[in-house]
Amino acid sequence: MKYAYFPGCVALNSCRELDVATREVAKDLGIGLVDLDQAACCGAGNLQDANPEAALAINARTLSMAGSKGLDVLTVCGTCQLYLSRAAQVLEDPEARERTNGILARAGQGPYEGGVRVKHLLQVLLQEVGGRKLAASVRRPLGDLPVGAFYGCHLLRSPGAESFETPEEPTSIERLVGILGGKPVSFDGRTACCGFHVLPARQDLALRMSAAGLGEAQDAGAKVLATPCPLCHLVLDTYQRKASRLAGRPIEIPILHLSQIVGLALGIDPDRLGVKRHLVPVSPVIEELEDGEVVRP
Amino acid sequence: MEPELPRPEAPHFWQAVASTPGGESIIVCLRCEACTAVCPVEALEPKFSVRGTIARVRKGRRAEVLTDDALWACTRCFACDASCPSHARPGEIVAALRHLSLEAGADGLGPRHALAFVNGVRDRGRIHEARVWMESAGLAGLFREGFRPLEMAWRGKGPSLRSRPIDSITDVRRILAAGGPR
Repeated sequence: MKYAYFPGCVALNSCRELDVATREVAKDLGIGLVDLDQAACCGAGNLQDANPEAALAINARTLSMAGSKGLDVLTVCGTCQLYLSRAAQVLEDPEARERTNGILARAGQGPYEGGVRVKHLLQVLLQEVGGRKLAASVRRPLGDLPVGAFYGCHLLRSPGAESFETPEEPTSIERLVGILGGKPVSFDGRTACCGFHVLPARQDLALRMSAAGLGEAQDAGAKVLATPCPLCHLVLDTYQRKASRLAGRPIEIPILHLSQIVGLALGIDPDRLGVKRHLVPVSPVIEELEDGEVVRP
Repeated sequence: MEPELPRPEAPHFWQAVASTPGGESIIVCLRCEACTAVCPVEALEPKFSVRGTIARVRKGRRAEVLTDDALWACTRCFACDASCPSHARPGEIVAALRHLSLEAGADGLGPRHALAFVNGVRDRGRIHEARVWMESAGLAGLFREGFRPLEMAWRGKGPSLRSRPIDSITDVRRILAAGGPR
């Protein structure tokens, strides 16, 4: 099991803990990661707005880098997953590929031949690693810790998401938490929008959206949220205090990246998963895990 | 003398939208409001309406649509695309409108951020969040953030001081130049 790893800009910048935790988890589970260190940003919708043709060509270039190694792409971000998998889908059409390869040729670069698939870590864990191997690798079961899922819009809207998920009523993170020996908490806001992409223009809207999702999670009894998207993480974690003030209600709920919650269950040292980088302290979660700890050999 | 009916300013505007990447599906939109029912922004912001925006495009109100700040209040969640009964892609249509609005030289927080983002890709290949933020929101934006940036830096979430452009940045710049005007 080997993938061309596309961490995305945020996992190499303000959410560096996501990149670190993903590498730890991949090593533990035997997922080989080949770095796409020359890949550019997926465009995140902004580049697509400004220059759609170039955005598609830049993503074709990334896909072609993976293709030349004979690998599919692994992402850990909902937005990277959406824009890269959309590009891969569009570029399966020979006409679109020819047009985009024309841009690449004008830029002095080789063509994209097609055929590369883009998968998010969540899909790889459930479909490639599989429940049986994952369950057997758990050394610190999540136990009674009530874990809520915060899916983020873009992962659910990615082409191919329906192969491991029912996008309207998603269950994959809850299934994963179950496999990790935990107690998933379901709440309506798990498919809410965090508002990240409107932060620059309308921070007020983003905060009201995330406050609503966080409030619902808290009301449902979740003591921690797991998210497969670092952009959701940025809003839910670093803006949580502001969102709580705006909503006029106390909200304090630690947010873990998907890789971190998997890493914790695998028994990896929390410090090596970067949990101290968050603004909302994760220590209550770690303490609860350690209190009820049944460390398996 | 017959009263003069208001004439649409750009009666063929919808065709321009339909021929912009992402905007093609405007021809199948029936303005049924299924998008409105699922839009998380419309629930909070009365000035934003996906259906209303598409209706104004159909009425040829080009300038009004392209200068509307509401285009930049869309969170790109694509809930509308997933729920459209006539298989239109309202979220993509709004993205096509943002493209046309940038082409028309729109200004404001949203357009400034999108262009700063593109500059970020051109400068380094990958986004350096703090730089993009400073370029689009400026010092005023930084002050609005209060202690959050400092707290992030303290926790190790600040801008990486070792961050450099990717080695093959020239390739990225060539693609941006070959792909279009921006």
